[in-house]
Amino acid sequence: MTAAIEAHDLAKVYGNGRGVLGIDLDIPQGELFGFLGPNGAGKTTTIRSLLGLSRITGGTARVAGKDVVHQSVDVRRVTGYLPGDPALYDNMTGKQHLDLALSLRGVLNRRHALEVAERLGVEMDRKVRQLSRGNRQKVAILLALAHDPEVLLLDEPTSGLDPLAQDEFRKLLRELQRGGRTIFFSSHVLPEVQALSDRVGIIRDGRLVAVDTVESLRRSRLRHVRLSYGGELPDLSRVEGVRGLESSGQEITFHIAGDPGPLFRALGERPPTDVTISEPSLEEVFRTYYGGQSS
Amino acid sequence: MTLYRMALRQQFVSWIVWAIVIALGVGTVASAAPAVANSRALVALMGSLPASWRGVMGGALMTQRPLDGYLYVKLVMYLPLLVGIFSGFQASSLLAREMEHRRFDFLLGMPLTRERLLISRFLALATAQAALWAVTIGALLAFLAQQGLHGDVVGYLLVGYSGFLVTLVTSAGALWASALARDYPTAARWGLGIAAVPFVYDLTVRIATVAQGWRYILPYGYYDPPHLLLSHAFPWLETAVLVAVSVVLTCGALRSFARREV
Repeated sequence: MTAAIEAHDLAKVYGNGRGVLGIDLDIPQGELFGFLGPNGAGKTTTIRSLLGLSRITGGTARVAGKDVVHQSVDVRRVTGYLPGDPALYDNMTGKQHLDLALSLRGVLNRRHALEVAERLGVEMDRKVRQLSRGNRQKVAILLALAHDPEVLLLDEPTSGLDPLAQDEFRKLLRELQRGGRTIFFSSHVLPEVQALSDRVGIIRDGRLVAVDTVESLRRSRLRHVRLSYGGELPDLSRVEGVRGLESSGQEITFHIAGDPGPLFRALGERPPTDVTISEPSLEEVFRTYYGGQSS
Repeated sequence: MTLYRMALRQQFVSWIVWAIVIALGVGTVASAAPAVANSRALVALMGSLPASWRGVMGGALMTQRPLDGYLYVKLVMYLPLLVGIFSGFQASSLLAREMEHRRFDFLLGMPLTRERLLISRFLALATAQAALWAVTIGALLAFLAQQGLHGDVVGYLLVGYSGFLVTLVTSAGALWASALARDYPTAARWGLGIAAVPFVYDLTVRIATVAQGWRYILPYGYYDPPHLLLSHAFPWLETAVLVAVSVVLTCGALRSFARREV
């Protein structure tokens, strides 16, 4: 299948040394890809680089087959972009914003845009300065979707939306995906990524540390382990892969990442009376990658 | 055209406010015109001034046509400064303030080049300036006519055109400064400086006993209403120089804006 978004060793480093480095992405057409990371990890920088809004300092990237450096205008023609903190014109209404966006894109057919506006419940006739944060976000989402783009690059799209609007928006994204649209969205809302994405990329300190399906990321990387002992607890702190070790009474709980072989060898010497191994939540996966940082 | 219309709409209120302020200023000055139309006192005053000051006060214009000399000293001399201040602030508003508020994310998310965005804003600014000059010269002639005085229509149209060229350079410079400034207040200060410094410099050079060639380093030196009103000669050289400088400054603004993270 054709890649809708490709990046090879993509880098965007700012003067202060921050930015993103070594980003490799290969997202096929029709995929819903979640991009997970805390504030300042590089999500927005990556999205802006993919749009050609930030000049990349290394590597290459293509969106819908077009080079983001040399064909950035073509990239933006086939892309819908929702900025992380959309700044609209306070003295313009939603309708005026839509008219402006469609006019700049040369789109004459407004049917799709009006359908999206109706589904999201966008207040089209009020000035932006009179709208709540959530309603402004709806206007910004409408502007990203209005021209029915091939690729959607959405930075924290559900931020500020009420739960009903979030549900409707997620339904809309799934419908767009079924229609062959490629959707790349960033978030630090883990259940949202878990519920929506086919695959997820985790970015940490400007580096993409994992790209996997939500399922396999949960399965292959991390296990939550609870061991019960009748007597003295063994010391597992030096066992390879063991993280977040906590002991309470006769129980030890921890996460094991990667190959569980070293753990089993250690347990062979001190077998527990009971063992519970469970899949971690994405929250736990996330916290593990971020070394306990809060999302 | 969409971007151009949008930029014009954005500065509409400022444009109206400045037009009213300038028209009121013109009215105030022009209302005294009948009293000085044939004044011998002004001619006598000119004769008593040091030679270097006579040029600043309109020179031969004051002695040959006291009314126009009076209008020059009281009003016409300062018009590029007034319109230039408008341009400086507007340029800051159209570029630096938009960047500071991250509004370009919305526009640059569209299939537009930065060049198109900046040029459309520059053209909108130039249009607003041309309109301000038209209002100013129109108001001046209208106030004179209303008092039974027939102004030098061709002469003042040439003055308006010449002033427009000077403020076009101011706009281009302010736009460049706006593309370079780290924030909106800095850009606004630079815009004000770009409008004011050439005026002060020109005044200083004209009063000081230095070679008058130094006047032509900055754009204000090319604004010479006494000469235009007396000769009615179209300012071809000024047009060529000031348009060329505007183009160079706009190219600088384009280059800086293209490199800028917005």
